[in-house]
Amino acid sequence: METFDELQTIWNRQPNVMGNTSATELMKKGEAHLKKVRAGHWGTIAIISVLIFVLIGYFIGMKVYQLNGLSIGLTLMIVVMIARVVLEWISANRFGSIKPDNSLAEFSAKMQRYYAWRKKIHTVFIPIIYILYIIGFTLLLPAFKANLSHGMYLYCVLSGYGFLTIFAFFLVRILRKEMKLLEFLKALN
Amino acid sequence: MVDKKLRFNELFDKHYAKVFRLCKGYFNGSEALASDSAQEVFIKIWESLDSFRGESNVSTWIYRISVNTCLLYLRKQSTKKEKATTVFPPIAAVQYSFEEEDRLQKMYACIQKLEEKDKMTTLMMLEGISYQDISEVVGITQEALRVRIHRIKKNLTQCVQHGNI
Repeated sequence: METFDELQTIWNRQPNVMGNTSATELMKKGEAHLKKVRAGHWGTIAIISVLIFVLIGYFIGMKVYQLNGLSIGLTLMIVVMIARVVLEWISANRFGSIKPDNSLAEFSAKMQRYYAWRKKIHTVFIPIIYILYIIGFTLLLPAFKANLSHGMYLYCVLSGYGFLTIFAFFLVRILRKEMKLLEFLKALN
Repeated sequence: MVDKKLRFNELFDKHYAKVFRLCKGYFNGSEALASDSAQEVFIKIWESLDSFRGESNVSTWIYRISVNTCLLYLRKQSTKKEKATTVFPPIAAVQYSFEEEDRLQKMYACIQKLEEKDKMTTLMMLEGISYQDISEVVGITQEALRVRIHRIKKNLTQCVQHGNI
């Protein structure tokens, strides 16, 4: 008959294994990680912001001031991109505010709230943004057809919709992963 | 900055081995995952050291980060597979028989069968962390913890003997 004390003895007697690391190495990794997080956060926002400026530049450059398919399409694309930047910003801030030094109960509850909010983003806001973006892009196509060569027009259509299809695939993957995590956190509490 | 580095070195020397074993237990005895997750814990400690105000024991603070990091380590990055991180060979300080190794593996397997909070509680208890620290890490009262630990000890012993909880 084995007692818990015997199990404790076995646990205590297990050989000590140390990972191949040092405090100095981890300090360097910590600094690099902090830089990467900041760069990633600003990088995403910078990419989307550049896209917005390109669209606005196009809007002004082409002197599209009257209400037609092109102006509505561009406006839609600009507005949804701005919405996406704002959501990205809020999301990063909310995640950053969850500190890993909370108690397990507090940490898991906060993470659960965060991923429930992400679920709302993925299932409500992102599909709306996505659909509006597709509508915006589709509204641009007649102008593309009128002003571009047939080959270039086909390239714009295929690459535009191709990108949106791949983007949708990645969104579904992210959603599935985060929903699994949400279920796990719910079970924990 | 120098002070921070000195402090971090001190924390690393004092707590790394314990954090490593805690993570190893959580990941069913996988030394590669334990090594990677323990590194992640200490990276977070480095990043948060400036904001630590001493509202709790430094050990409680470290175990809170360890538990929360291990909990989400694999789940947050579903593509993260067991990486081939180099791990030093075991330092056999005491004679450790195959029979004991077998029972240790059984313990790991039984710990995996526990609920997440019980799993963490068990590992901290086995590492000899005080009840006060464990209750602060898990976020339950000491009375509730004592009841939980009593149940866990019974279940774990039974599982190692008979293979089920």
